[in-house]
Amino acid sequence: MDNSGDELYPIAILIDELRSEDVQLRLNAIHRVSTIALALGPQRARDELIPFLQDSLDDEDEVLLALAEELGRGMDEYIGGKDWAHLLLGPLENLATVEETLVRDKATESITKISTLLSPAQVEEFFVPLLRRLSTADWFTSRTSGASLYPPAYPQSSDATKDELRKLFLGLASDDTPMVRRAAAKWLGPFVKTFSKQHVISDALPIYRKLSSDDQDSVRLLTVEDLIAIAEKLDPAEVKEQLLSSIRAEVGDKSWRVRYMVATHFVKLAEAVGVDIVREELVGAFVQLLKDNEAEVRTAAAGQIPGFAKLLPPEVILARILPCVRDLSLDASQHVRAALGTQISGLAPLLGREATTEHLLPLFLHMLKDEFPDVRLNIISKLELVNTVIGIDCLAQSLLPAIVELAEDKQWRVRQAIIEYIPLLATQLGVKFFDEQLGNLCMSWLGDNVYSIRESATINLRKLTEVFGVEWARGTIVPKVLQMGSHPNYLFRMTTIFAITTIAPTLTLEIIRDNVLATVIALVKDPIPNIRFNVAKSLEVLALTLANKGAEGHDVAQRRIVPAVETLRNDPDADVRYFAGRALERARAGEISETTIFGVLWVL
Amino acid sequence: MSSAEAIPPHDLDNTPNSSSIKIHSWRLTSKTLPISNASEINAAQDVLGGLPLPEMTFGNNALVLKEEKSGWEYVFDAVGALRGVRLGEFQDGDGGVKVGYAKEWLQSRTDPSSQTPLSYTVAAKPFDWTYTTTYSGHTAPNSPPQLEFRPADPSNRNHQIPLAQLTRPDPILFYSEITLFEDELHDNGSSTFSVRVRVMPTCLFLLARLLLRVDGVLFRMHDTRIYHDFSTSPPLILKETGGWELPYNVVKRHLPSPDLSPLTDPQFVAKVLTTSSVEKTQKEGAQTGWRGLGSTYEVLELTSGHQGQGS
Amino acid sequence: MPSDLDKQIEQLKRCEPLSEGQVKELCLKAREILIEEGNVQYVDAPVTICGDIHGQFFDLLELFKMGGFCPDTNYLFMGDFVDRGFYSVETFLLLLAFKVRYPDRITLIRGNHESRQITQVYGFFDECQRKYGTPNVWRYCCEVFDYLALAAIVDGRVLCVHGGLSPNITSIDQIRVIDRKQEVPHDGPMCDLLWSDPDGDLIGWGLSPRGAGFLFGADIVKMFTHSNDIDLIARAHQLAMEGYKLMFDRKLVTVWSAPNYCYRCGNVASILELNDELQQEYKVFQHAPTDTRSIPVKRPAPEYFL
Repeated sequence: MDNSGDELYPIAILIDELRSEDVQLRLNAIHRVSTIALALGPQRARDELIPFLQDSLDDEDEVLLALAEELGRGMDEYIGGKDWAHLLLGPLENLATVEETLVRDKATESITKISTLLSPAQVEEFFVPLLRRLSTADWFTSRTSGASLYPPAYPQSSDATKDELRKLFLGLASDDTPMVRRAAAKWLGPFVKTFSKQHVISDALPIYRKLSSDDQDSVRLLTVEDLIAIAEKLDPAEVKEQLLSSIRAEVGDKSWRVRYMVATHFVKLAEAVGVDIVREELVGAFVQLLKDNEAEVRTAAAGQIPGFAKLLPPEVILARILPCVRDLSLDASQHVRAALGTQISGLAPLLGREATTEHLLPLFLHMLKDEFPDVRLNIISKLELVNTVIGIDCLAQSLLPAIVELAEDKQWRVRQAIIEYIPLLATQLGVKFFDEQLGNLCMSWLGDNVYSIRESATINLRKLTEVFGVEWARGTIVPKVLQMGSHPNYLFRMTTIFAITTIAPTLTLEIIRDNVLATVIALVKDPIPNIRFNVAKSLEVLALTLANKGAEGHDVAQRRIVPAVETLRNDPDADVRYFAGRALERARAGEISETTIFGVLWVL
Repeated sequence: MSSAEAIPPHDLDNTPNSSSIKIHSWRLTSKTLPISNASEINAAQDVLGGLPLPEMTFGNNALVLKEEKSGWEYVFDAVGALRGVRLGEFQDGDGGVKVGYAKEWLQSRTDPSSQTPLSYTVAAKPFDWTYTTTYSGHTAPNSPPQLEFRPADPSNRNHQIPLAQLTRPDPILFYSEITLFEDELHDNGSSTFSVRVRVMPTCLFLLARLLLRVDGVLFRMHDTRIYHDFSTSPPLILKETGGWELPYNVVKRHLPSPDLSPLTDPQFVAKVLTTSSVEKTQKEGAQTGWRGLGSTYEVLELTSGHQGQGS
Repeated sequence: MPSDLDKQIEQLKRCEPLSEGQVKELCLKAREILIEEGNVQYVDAPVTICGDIHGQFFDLLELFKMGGFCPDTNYLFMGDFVDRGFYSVETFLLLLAFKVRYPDRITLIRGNHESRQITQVYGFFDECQRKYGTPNVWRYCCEVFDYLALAAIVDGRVLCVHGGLSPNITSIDQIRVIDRKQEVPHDGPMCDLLWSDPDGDLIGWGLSPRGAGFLFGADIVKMFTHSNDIDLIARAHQLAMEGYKLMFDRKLVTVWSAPNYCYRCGNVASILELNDELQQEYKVFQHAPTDTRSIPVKRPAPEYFL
């Protein structure tokens, strides 16, 4: 370590830099504070550095934020270990009182970290007094910070102190300033988790009731998580006795923001209260939220549908939840419908084959025609869940017309979602049905006017070849792809090359030799340089593929591919020359290592 | 101990595109929507005599204050604000300006050696391209016509907005912030009209602000503050308007570092404009002769409908 | 070294900025390439023409997803790469990396925002300072700006320029003689090319009410296209709610490529694909999908304003 003669050096430098005009320099100094502490040694770090940091608190929020963070980042190591960790509380206490929320939050976060190092004696002697001071300070910022420190302090305190802390927290929950009450509401949940059951009923419940009936909805909405924390501490009978009216009140709150919070946390709440209350009380409450006047609330509730339905028997889902789902699928708000779109298929495994076919399928079909693209997209991307329940035949027959329609959707992301679903559909439909129903569709995407769709379409062809086999490809897709190679529009010719490059590794020697190569080599003379350098890339992959096919493959590559690439190496366009050169290089390397084709394809 | 009792009963109603509060006999409504589309722009342009509209015109945004006993209703909206923008040649008092490099630009065109003498150019449709307006809101068509603001009594302390009291962190029961228009002046600065309002247990307070920056030329600001103490009877509304201006370089001198970005920070600019000497900011300004400089103080007593007719 | 550059391109496509040293090197190489280009860069069709991007990086990726990536698709960007959006650094560097890696496949011409003065006000300077802690990256980029071409001509038939025409310029050859390697001046033909606008109600040359800058009418465009024997003037510079706006008997088009401009205008954007026969196809695209629904209320926090 650097502990040479210039002893005063580090702290002097720090002080100097902390006084600099330049914020960046001050920030740098703060970030080096542990290095400086190390250089000073524990004793002087405690005697000089910590008091200095405690007093030099008048700075930009950015600098204070950095200090709050550094103090919580293992600083104890540099001041003599755990036994002295409480000294760090001093500067952090100051930081926990400043006006900027970010700084305060970081300071309390660091205090919380440090508190885990403290012995019970240190807690009683230093941490609890700090908490007392913050909680009773004049300015609300301190009291707000105080609220967040009860969860770490409480478990380590003596019983007498615990009694006091609960009372102090009640004070914060009754504070004049809404900001403080909000902080109390935010931290009550974590605080309650540290309570004994007796104190949950005697102390936490009254605090919760006070906060949950606050005038300000911004306070009330934070008590939803408190409610869940309390419920988790109680057994079902106690929940019923103590919390039922509170649950009702939260669900029926006049502020939509509170109801929104309830809706967002509904599954967690349901899991906390136990099965009886779910059946007797929460089903009704959930229905109420699904029918809420505010679209935001309905959206949030829709997000909880499968999670909540899991807790219910199928007949209840059918009788109570499904009618609401039907209403939501016709909701005036597109966001509600979109949220439902992602969730509705989650009901299929719960309802089983028959009920899904009878009740859900008509809703899917309806939502697949929704005017808002996100709704359609969300439905399609989750179809797999339904597939496993009702089987592909049933799904395909009923959904095919809708899928064909969506394949031409105006939004390219909807078309893309359909393409990605095609290989799965193909696996289950079988060749005959696929060729009849979807073959043309797959080819038409190759001519899409959006690049990403054309790209997905070529990848789709490779996946289909993997599903139906190479002979199928030779008969159906290869001729159509090659035909596009002489299209007058260069974008089609480009797609031909892309498609060949993509499917090449799945093709046989015969197909490459007898069908594909002629088309690719003809395009060496294409007037568009972009096509020519993609021909070079394509020839590279074809050569590597052929290298895998024994002596004959090697021969074809030598006789037909190498001369074509050589031609391209002398092309007037620099990029064509570059990719042709690379193709030659890699093709040669490929003769040595035969397993690199897919690797190369990846790089392309 | 608890101030909860001091918070009067009130109803809040929020939807994604609007929010409102009912408190005492008041209803405040704020609407926030995306910028106007092509057909809305055409319609607004028709109303405004063909004024080329700002790049971002939030024609569907509005802030409405309504006192239900008297029927007084006061509105801030984009068309209202843009009505105050000069359409046609600049006149005295309009404070018309040109971009910072207009002079050298013009010189290069009038120079005898110039290949493009201005003689063969025509002036395009003249209008105040800075969208300067002294708009301070307007009464709604159905508001009783006799309820109009009149000059405040300078000696009456109740006719002054108690700014000290407004610094107190009383709970904010309702808050809203909307933009009426915004234009970046073709990369020569920016012109923004925004309205903010907050309702506390004892009063409501509104600030509407036009903030203009013309790069290399000037900063200009026009504020309207409306204040009402719920305990006044009959209800008393205070309105203060003020205009400030400073040359661009004067504001630039207040920058803490060579970084120019604070000049696009409304807080920074407003602070410089309002804390410099009134002689400079509200009389001299940027020597444009803009009539909006200076401050005015007005009041309005909301006597109920029929009483008002008698007076 | 293509392989280093390829890595940098991949990195930039993920919107991860380069190190200061890498930027310096990239900018130096870019200057070497750009210095060789003429004021009016000759471009071969097919090419895809794009308007303002303004640092909207994820929307630029949408553009590529619609039109194809460089080098498979040839691009011509008509300036205003930086300012206003959140990712000017990544946006400009990605385009520049493409330029250095594939000089023949992408053409970048200068917009009025590619200027020291404008970027200090509209965000690019600030962004560099924030992301790198020093203004060096901004400085390197500004040096590149000075070398960008002022215009481009596709197959001799389509003139591309950021703003518009200048009364000083009646023939394209007059653009070629400008000394472009400088900060954008406040006046003169170079300034006009980057700043002027068409005006549908105007005959002849108009003087902007702002006191500087020209507006030009249908007759000017007709004369210019006729005497220079070109089919179309493509320009950017002005927001078009529908992504592009054809004017003057389809002799002039404004192409706008920043969807949901400034993240709140709600407009669509477009690119203009010219195929090898110079047929025009306008492709309209929307802004990148965002997950705004994760925030229940987007209202500003109450503030004790006075």
